[in-house]
Amino acid sequence: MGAPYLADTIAAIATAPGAGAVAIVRLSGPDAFAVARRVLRSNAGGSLGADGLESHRARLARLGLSGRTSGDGRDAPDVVDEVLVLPMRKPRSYTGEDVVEIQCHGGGTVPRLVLEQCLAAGARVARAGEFTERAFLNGRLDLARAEAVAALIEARTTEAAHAAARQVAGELSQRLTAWRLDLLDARSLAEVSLDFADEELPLTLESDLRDRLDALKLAISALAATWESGRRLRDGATVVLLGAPNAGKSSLFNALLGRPRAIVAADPGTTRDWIEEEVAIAGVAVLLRDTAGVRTAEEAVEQAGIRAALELARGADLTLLLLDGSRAPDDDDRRLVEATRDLRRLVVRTKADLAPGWAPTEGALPQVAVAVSAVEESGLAELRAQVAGKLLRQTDTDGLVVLHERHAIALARAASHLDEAGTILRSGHDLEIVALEIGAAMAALDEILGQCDVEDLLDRIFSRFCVGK
Amino acid sequence: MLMNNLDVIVVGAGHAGIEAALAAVRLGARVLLLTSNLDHVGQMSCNPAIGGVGKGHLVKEIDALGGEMGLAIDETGIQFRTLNTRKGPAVRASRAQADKALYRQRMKSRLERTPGLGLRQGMVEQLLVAGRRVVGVVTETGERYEAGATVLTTGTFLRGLMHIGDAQMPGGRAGDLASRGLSAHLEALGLPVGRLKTGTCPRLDGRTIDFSRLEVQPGDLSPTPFSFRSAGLTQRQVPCHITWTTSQTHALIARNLERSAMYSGRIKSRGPRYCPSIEDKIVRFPDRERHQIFLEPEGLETVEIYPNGLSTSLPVDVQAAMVRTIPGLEQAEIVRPGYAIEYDFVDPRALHSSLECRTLERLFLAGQINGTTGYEEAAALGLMAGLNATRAVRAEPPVVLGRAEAYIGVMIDDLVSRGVGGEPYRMFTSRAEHRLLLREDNAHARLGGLATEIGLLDEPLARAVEARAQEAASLRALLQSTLIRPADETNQALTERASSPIRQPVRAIDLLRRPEADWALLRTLGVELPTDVESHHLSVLLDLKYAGYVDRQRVLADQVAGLDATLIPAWLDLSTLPGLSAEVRERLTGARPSTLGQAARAPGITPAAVATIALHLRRRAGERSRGGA
Repeated sequence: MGAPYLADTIAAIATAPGAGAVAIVRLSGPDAFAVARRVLRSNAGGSLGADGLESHRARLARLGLSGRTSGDGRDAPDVVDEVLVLPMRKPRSYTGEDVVEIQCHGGGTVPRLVLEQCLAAGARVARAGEFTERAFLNGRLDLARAEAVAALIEARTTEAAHAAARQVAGELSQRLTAWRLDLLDARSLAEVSLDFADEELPLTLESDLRDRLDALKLAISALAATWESGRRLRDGATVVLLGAPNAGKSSLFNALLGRPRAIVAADPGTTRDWIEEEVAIAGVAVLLRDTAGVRTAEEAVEQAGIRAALELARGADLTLLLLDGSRAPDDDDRRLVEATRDLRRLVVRTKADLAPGWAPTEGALPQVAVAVSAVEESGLAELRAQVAGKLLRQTDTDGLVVLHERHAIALARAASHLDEAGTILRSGHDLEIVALEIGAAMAALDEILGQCDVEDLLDRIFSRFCVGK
Repeated sequence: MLMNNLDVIVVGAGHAGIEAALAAVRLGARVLLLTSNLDHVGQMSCNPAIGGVGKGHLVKEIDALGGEMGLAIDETGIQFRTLNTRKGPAVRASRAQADKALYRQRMKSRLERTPGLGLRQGMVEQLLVAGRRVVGVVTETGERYEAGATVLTTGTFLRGLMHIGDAQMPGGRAGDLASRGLSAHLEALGLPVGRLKTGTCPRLDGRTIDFSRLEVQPGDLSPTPFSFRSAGLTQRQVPCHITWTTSQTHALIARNLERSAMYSGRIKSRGPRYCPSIEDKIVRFPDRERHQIFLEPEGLETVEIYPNGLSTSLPVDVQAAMVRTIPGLEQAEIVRPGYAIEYDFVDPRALHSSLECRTLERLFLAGQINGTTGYEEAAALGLMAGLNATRAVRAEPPVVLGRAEAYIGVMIDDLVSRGVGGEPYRMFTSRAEHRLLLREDNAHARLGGLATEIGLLDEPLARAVEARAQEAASLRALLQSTLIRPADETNQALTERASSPIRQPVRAIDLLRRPEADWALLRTLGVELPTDVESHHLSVLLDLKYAGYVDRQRVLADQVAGLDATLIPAWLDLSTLPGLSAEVRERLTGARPSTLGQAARAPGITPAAVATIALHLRRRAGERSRGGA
C-alpha cells in the first residue's frame, strides 16, 4: 500500500493562517520538484520545462487555482495567481530533502487552493511537525535544535527570537556535547582506578576528578537556572499592579502602556475588576494587570476585589506594590506590604511629582525600589529596568538561556547527580558510585540531545510542532 | 568411547574448549575434544593468574553456570586476593595466582575422567560442510569426525606467527605448532578472517632474583574461594613481589626500539592498549619515571617467575640486558624470552548472539578466535558455545544472556554487535551499563535458576543453590522482623562503632543500611544470625546498603530491555532504508543488529538513526497489520 516512510512528498501551508499579504506553501520529499512542475506554469503560460527550477534560485511563475487544465497542458481560463518559487535541492534544505517553497498571495483562500493543487499533483498533506521531524530523521537537526525551532516560531519579542535562534544554530547542542565529553573524561578518571586495581595511578587523580565535577556542576546548574528567565522570554510574564485605592495604579498602567486604557478617576475604587494589556519590557512580553484598588473596606464588592487582587499577585511573575508618595502610609498599606512579603515584588513610590508625604526611610516599610510620576512620566525607564532585572536573571552562561522546561529539568537532574558524586567523593567512599552518578548526569544531558527514550520523546516533541516547521 | 554418534566436536583444549566440552557433557551430549597437544590442555600461555576486575566476575558467572574454571583455580591457586575492597560493591573482584602445571594436570585429569567425553590429539585442518551446515571436521592426518555441531576454540593458533626482535617463528605459542590450513579454509567458507596481535613476558629464573630487597605483596589473610562448590583452598600460599623499571631500563629500550618487532614495522596489527608491551609504555608515556613490575611465581615446584608488566618483542640480548637494569633483577637469568604473536581471528560480527556463525549453521566459535583476550573471557565464551551447540543439535532455542543479567551477556552482545575494533577484547566492569546489578557476590543469585532450568547443574548442586537462595530469603525476613530497642548497652555498642545511638526501636534491616554497620555489629546488639552470613550472604548486605542505586539501575535496565525486545525483522533492509546516511547504512550493514538495542549500541550509530529505524518499524508494522503491502 502506501509509499514507504520518507519516500513520499509532503505539502503544507507554512505561514500562519490569516490575512497576511503573502503566504508560503512548502513541498518536501523526493517528488517535490515534480509536483511543483505539475502545478506551475511559466509566465507565458507554458510548462516550466526540464530546467525551469534551478536550486536555490527564486523565480516567478503562474499557478492555476481551479485545477482545471486543458488537454494540451495549458491553463484553462480561470483564476491564476502569480507566485514566487524557491526550489532547494537536497541536502541543502531545511528537511534535507528536495524542497520547493511557493510564495502566493495570502488570506484564507489562495494558500488553501495552492495547497489543494499540490495535493492533486501527488503530494500528501503534512502532519503537524512533519517537516521538522524529517529534518531530524535526515540528521539535519538534533532534538535540542528541533525544539528550538518551535520556540523560534512562537517567539513574541526580538530577544526571545534571538535566544531561540541561537539554539536552532546549535549553540545549546554544542555546549551540551562539550559537557558530555567533559563528563566522559571525568568518568574515565574514576573508571581507570576501578578497572585497573593494581596499576600505579597519579596521586592527583581524585582531586583532579573533584575539581572537574565541581566546575561542571556549577556550569550546568547555572544553565538550568536560566529556565526561569527563558520561560518568561518565551511565554512572557505576568506583572500585577497592586496598591491601595487611588495609589496611582491605573495611571502607572497607562504610562507603561504608553496610551490610556484604564479609567482613571480621583474617586477611590474606580477599577473594580482587573484589566490587562501586553507590553514589551526589555524583550519580555509582559502581561500587565491592573487590579482593583485594594482596601480593607466594608463594601462587599471591594472586598471580593481585594481577595482577587492578592490572588492575582500570588500567581504573577512579579508584583508592583504601589505606595502613594503624597500621603503617609496607612494601615492598609502596611497590610499590603505584609501580604506580599513572600512574593517577588518591587515597591514603587508613586506621585513623585507631588510633595512627599513620608520619608523614604520610614521604619517598618520596605525599601522603595523606584519612585515614579505618571504625570511627569519620570522614573518609568528606571522602573522598566528594575522590572527586567526581576524577570530576567543575570546569567553567567554567555547569554545562553534554557527555553524548554524539559531541558531545565534534565539539566537540574544532571547537576544534582554531579553534586551527589562530589559528596561521595569527598566522603572518601565508593568511587564506583561516583562513576554511576557521573553516568546518570551524562544520561540526563543525552536526554536533551535526544539520545535515549527515543520513541516516547519523538512522539511528545513532534506533536508539539505547528505545521510548516 | 566410540567416535561415532557424536553430538558436539570441540576443537582446541584451552580455557574455551574445556568449558565448551564440559558444558555439552553436562547437558548429556556425546562430545569429542580435539587438541593439537595433549600435554598442553588448559595451558596458561601468558600470566599465571585467574581473575581480576571484570575477569573475576566472569569466573563467578562461569561457576554459577556449572563451569569448571572456579573449581580448578581454587584447587591449584597459590595466592588469593580480593581487589577494590574499598572502591564499591560491584567492582570488588577476586584474583588468584595459579600453579600452572597443577592447573593443567587438574584440567586434563578432569576431562579424562568425564564420561561421555572423548579427548584426542589431532590438528583439525578442515570442516566437513553439507550445504550451509557444518557436519564435522577433518584432521591433518585425514581422520574424519562427524557431529551435530562443531565448536572452534583455536586460540592464537590460526596462522600464529611469533616475533622476537627480527626473528619470526610460526607457532601457536612458544613450544606449539601453528594451525596453517584451517584459517584459509574458514576464509574460503566466507568467514571474515582478520589478524590480531598480542604478546607475553620473558620468564625468569627465580634463583637469580634477589627478593630480599623487593616489596612483598602477600595474598589475603583469609582468602575466599572462587567456586560455590569449593570446600576451601588447599595449596600452600606464597607471596608475589613488586619492583620497578629504572631510567636505565627506559634508556636501553629507547636505544633499541627499532630492534623490537613491534616497532620495526614487521608487525602491522595494533596490540592491546590495556596490555601494552614495555616498549609501548616507554614510547607512549615518556614522562613516567618508572613502571611497576609484579614478580609472580609460575608454580610451587618450579623456579620460573613471570615478571608481569615486561611484555616485549625485543631481541633476546636486549631482553636480557633490560631485565638486569631492574632492582632485584641485576643477576636475573631469562629462561624463556618474551615474544609478540600475530594470529587470525574471525570478526565476531559474523556470529549470532548464540555464538553460531550467521552463514554456517552448527558452527560455533569461542575464545580468542572471536577476537577476545584472557583465559576468563575464553572460558565464558566456551561455556556458552558448548551450551548452545548442544541446544542447536536438539533443536532447542539458544540461551542468550542479557546485558543486565551477566557480564557474559555484555561481552557477547559487545562482540556480535560492535566487533572488536582492531585490538583484542578484554572484559572491563565499565563495559557494563548496569554494573551494580552484576556483582561477583550475586552471580549465583542471578544465574543459578537459569543454570538449573537448562540442566547445567547436577541435582545436588541445584539443590544447594536453591537452598542458598532460601537462606537469603529467610535472612532478609529475620532482619525485617527483628527490632532493636534503645537500651544503654545497645547505644554504647553503637557509639563504639561510630554509629549514632537510637531513641526509638529500629528494625535490624534499617540499622544494617547504615554505612558503618555490618553483620558483626548486629551480633553485638544481640541479633542471632546464622554463622555463615559473612561468607555466604554478602549479597543480602550489599543489596540493602545500595538499595537506592540498585533500584535505579534496575529501572534503567528495564528501559533498555524495551529496546532490546524490539526485534529488527529480516524483511527490513537496513542497507536501503530511507532517511539513513550512507555512513550509518554501511555501519549497520557491518553490525547487522538483530534488535533496536543492538543497533543503538553499534559504533557510530546516531540516535536519529535509531529513531528512524524505530519509526520505520512502527509504520511498516502498522501497514502489515492493516493487511496491506
